[in-house]
Amino acid sequence: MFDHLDDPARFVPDDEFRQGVYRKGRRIRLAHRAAKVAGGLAATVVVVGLAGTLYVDRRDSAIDRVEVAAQPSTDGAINVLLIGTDSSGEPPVEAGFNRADTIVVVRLNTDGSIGLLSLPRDLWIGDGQRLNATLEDGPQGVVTAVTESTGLPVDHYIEVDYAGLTALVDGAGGLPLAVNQTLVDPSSGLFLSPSACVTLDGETALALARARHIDGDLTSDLGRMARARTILGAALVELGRAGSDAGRIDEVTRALADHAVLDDDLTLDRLADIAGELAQRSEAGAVVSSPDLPLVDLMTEAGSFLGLPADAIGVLHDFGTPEGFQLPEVPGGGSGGTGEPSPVAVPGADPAIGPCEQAAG
Amino acid sequence: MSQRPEFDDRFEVLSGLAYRVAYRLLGNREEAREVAQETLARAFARWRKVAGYDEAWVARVATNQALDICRRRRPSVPLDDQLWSSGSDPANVALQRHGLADCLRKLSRRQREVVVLRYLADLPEREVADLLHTTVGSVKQHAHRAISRLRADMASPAFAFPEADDV
Repeated sequence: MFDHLDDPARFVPDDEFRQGVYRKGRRIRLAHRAAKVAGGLAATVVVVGLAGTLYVDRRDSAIDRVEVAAQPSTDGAINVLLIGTDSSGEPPVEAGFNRADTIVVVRLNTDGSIGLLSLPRDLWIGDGQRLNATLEDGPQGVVTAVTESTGLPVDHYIEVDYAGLTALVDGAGGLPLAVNQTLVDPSSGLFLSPSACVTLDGETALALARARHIDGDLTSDLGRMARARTILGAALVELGRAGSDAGRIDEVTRALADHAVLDDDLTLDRLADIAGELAQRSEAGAVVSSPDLPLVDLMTEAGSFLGLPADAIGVLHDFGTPEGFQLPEVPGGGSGGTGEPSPVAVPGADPAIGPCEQAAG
Repeated sequence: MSQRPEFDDRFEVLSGLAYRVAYRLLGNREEAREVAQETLARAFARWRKVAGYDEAWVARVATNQALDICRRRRPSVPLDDQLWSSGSDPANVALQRHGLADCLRKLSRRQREVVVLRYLADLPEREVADLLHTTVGSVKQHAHRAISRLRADMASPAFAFPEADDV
């Protein structure tokens, strides 16, 4: 289709080209080894001199970046919009399509605390659209949908496919989680016994993130939302820890390159900073606020959705939505048939999983 | 038991691929050659890890490097409708490259992967589906959506992309 854009002259890799490849390639190998010795994701900056040219660029250009007009925070906090996509495991009609399966806002508050907020996939965006479908318009579609329907600021964008979660978790050395009850979900292959702290491998973390039918948990998608944000939050923290471990950086950056898309401003340095900050706060026992968003059931001609009732604004304010932001009107017509949207019962405050208790000292 | 191919054996295919991808976006021989060389050097440096999916990796890295160069060297070119014509006169072609680069930077991960592998690297649908661990149908869908989006962004009916299905 684009062959009219090709060079009419055929490209032939001559000797000079070939020798250049090997020469540069050897230099890069040396730089990699030096980086491992120096340690740290951010240490790739330190290695600039050795390789002769921008080492950070070399490593970084394996990672796909997108241009997103974000809506930056004005209050000194940082909101990272984390999107998890699942291109497998969905019913045939959705297999491989662009759907934002998990939408989480990770917030670094100015008071040193961490916030995690899940937005439901079926959030009413207007015009018969739901939040998870906005990814069809690319990352900008999701960011705009989020900022317009919730007022939440967005400073950075990370989109990861679920296969990436496996690679990231394994690359970071596993995911430590506290498991508070037996979790069994045959459809996702999950089986976890209670434990004060267990290190999950990538595959298990993925099964947990996908689990929709955990025995005894009738909340299905909402329960999964709560679990997903705990997992993603914990994964980011682990990323932060891995960022200072030279042996892990290669694996982590490779996982990101193969499975993630980051916004233009989220350089590896910046990501290392943010993840490192999360890790530090977590080690310091920072408060992790993980509230459930009040939701209402909406039945419309376009299908059933979830909407934000007036009292959702409180939670949104805590995550940076400015005072005075008007929540969009939700269409009427709850599932109760009374014409009023009915509140949705969100899962209780006791999550089945959580971060491990930090050992004293 | 599959043997990992030697970098040397893949050299020609991969350098041709990297060059094609870069040239389509940049339209400049020197720059495309530089990108190809840099990309191959990186592939060499990480060959053990890249060998299993070398074409996809090379296509991605070459694309990202080319996009980087695009961004750095050009201020935003307003896409003036009057400059459009069907056909491949230089001005039109330059705009097509720019439009393509612009579009790539706005796609979701999945869409972008498909566009890069199908339309920059010219890999067949079946191979793209295998590389992305998905179905041919899904590849077609993503390709179709991305091209529709590209057309919409270019905002000109004279823009001569054939239908995605024809490819």
